[in-house]
Amino acid sequence: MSDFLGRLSSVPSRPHDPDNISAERYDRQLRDLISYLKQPGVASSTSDYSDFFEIVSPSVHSLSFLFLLRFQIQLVQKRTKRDIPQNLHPGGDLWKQVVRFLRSFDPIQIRYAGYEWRQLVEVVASAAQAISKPALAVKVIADALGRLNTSGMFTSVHLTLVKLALLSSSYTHTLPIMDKVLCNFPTDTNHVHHETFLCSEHGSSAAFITDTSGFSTKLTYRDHLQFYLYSAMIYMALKRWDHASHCLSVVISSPTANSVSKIMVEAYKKWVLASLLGYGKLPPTSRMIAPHVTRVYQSLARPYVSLAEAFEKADLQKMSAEVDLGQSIWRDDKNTGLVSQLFEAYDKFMIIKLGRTFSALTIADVLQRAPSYFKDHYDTEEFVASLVMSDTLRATLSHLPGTESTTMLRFCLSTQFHAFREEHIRTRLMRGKSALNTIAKGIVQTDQTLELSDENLHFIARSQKWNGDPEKSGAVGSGEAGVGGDIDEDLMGDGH
Amino acid sequence: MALAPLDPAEMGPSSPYVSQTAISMGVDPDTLNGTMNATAGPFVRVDDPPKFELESYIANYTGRTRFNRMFLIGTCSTHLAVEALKAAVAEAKSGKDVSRYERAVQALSEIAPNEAEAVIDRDWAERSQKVVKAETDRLEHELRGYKNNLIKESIRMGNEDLGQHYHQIGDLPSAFKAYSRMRDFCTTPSHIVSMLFKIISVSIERGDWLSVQSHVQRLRGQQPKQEEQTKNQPKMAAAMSLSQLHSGSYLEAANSFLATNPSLGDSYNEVLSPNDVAVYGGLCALASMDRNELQRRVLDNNSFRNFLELEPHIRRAISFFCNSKFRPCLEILEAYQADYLLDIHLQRHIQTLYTRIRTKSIQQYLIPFSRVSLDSMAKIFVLGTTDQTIQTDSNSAFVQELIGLIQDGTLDARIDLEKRVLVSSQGDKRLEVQEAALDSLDNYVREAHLRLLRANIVRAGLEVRPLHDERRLKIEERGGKRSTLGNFLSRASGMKQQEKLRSFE
Repeated sequence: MSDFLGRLSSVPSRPHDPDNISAERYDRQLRDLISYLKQPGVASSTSDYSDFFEIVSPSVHSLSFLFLLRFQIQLVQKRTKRDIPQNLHPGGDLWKQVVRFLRSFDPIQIRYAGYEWRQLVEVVASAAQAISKPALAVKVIADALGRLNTSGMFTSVHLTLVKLALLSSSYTHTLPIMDKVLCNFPTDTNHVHHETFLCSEHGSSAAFITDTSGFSTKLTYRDHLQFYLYSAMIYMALKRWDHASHCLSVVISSPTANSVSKIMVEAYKKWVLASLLGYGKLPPTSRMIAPHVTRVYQSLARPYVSLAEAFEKADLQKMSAEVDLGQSIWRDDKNTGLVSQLFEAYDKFMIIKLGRTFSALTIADVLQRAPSYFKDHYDTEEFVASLVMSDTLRATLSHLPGTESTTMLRFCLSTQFHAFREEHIRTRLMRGKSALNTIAKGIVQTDQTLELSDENLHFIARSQKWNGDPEKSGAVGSGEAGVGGDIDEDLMGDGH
Repeated sequence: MALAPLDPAEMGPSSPYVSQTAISMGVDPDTLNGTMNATAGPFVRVDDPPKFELESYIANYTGRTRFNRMFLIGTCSTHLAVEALKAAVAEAKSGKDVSRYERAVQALSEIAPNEAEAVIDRDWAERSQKVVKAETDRLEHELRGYKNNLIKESIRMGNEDLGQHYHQIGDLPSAFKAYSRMRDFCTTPSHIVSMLFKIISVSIERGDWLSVQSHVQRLRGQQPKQEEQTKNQPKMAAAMSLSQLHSGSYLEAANSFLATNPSLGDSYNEVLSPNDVAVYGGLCALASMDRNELQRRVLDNNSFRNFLELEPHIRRAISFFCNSKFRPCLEILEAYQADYLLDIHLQRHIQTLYTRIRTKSIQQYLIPFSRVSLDSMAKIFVLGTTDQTIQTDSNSAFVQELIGLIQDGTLDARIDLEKRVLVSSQGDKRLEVQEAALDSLDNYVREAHLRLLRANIVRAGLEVRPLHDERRLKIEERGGKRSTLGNFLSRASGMKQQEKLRSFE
């Protein structure tokens, strides 16, 4: 028993380790610990692990704690013959320990047990769903993902998280995860990082989240498409249209091999609506979309496209006709909510557009020049007032002296909001900077891995063969590759 | 287009300018149709009396353009219809072209059936047709004879005679072909030059402006003697600028007109008179150049001054425009609109030219103001009425025009309907630049993200692929999973979750 405890607490997390051991030794220690914990005999050595939960700290001995949880869950599952036993339900004692662990684990140690960590997260998800309260798991999983810091790596846990968030309509907790730029997928990168250790400092997560690390299930194209579609749906629920339409453009412009996914078509429909709601027009689609894919979109989303045409041409009558005509289509596609918001967005953009032509005009003029969903003078005034209050429209309303019924709408010049704008620009700059940093890092990293990928090496080797003289071309090839000597050796080996 | 006769049977090759419809280069026929025909059917109908005397006007021209111009005036102007058509009938009867005689008579009979000329002279028509037929046969026979003898010069002259004959009887495509055939038999540069001029004149009558341009270019490629060059330059410039005018590139047309040498004189009267050069050139320049350019290149242009002296009102209009007196300028143009609508070349373009001049005047007028009252603008730009108060109502045509100009981005200003002023937008350039920079940053991040994701998706093998491909992958994957990984979450609960999500979607 004490021996077991000794083994459990043998490898503390590095900040808690008094003597600063080398990465190599630490790596060996952790691997030893894992292999010990994975021995078939260890699990059965004791009947109940709940006592250990108080002794072993989840933040210092994260690996041990994770395996303890695992043993305990298996034990209870065996005892109760149920997948999700009672005390694993939210509020149960085991649930509390799991949550405690997921909020405080040491991300370095966990790198060695990605598979076990993911399964724990999935247990949390199914436990919360088992009692139909998925919202309880959302925050926990979001925190755990944030702690793991995948730095731009997509995992199946991301997908689980957004699914749960959508099921439970608890959107804001997922934002910290969704707002991060994801740009990588777990791949087989062993040959690149063979000299480093899992526990050492890594510039990117590609070193410890690979296709064999277990942090993610084996991904298919559906997973990332679904993730971005669900993310977009969350952003749309929060009315953050620009984020939503970006997520959707990820889906609709994703690479295809001779076929188009239904998810992409659904995303295109939503993208049309989100662009109308967010920008009042359809921005040009990304040039990366292959022409045949665009044709598929155009033909399958015809009602949406013609609705967008009517919207853009400011043809209110045609738009209402299209909306009425497509009622069943919107309902089948579950887009009724978005479509019903179109009219308000239409009015909003019409009034904003008036601000470019007029600097002041009466509400009656507004009604006349921007034929609106509202027929009434007072409705319009109220709508304009709400736009002004929500900061969508920079304008003031004033009653003309003497005539109570005539309201003058005066659009303000942009300069009058100087202080406000400075602040606004600052926040945008900060946001842009961090996004740019992530992207730049991702680009450098991808560039590196692509350069070292088998395809590229083969290509270089082949082009050398074409050159004929192997001696001469060897020099050229190493210049092209522009990396260390080991590649050069590879090439030579390949060439001979 | 606007000139196309109503009866499709008459759309024969002989009707001049019909082919404009098909070959109106670069000009959107719809917009022209829209502006020209908004008021009256398929024809332009001019009710105002023009300022010119028909007889002295037509005396400026020679050749076939006389008939074409008179016919146009006869069909478009209500004032001069009878007089012009009668003259046209007489003109046609003096020539050999029977079809245009018939057209002129028919047009006259529609307007004034009681006139003596409104009845077709069958005798003359039949006689002329016979004469024409005999002449055609004779010339073609002669040409065949020349061809058998293989004498280049004779073949060239035979073709020339035939072309001339076809031109006179109004068979323009055949004339064009006959003249084109001369090409291989030209032996001296002067032959080539004269052939090209003949082709150009046929092309102008056909309204084939592309061919006019290409043949003028070919003329330029010739290197004749100095005196030849000075003799030909004005004609070349005039033909070129006409074709540019018709293709809607007014600035180029203005440049070519301005470059036309005043030695043109009456030498090109079968196409256009020096007065026309002044009018076309002046209007094109007004519509396409700014005030400095107008002053420097039109008013201070010594050679073009010779033309402008023929049409002093154009000169006045341009100098008013240069001095920012827009109302007198617009009034002059307004007064002469009827004349220009009856001009064979200007008719299709005058509306566009006027709109451009007007828009430019408004733009120029607004430059010094930061805010200007709508009333004072109306005083200058609303012509033809004295009652200013109604003119600045928010629904008046003038305000609507301003709104249109603002919305299409021509005017950088906004209308204040409370104080009844037009406020020029003094956007904060610094803010605008900042906004633009931030936007481009956002766009870049988005685009880069999309592309990066794409690269990584492809690298990870996650492209969307056909179903059978994917199934195979899945089987492999499942097999792999079972062998390597334990399974402490039963698959059943996972399935349940899937079910739930599906229903949610």
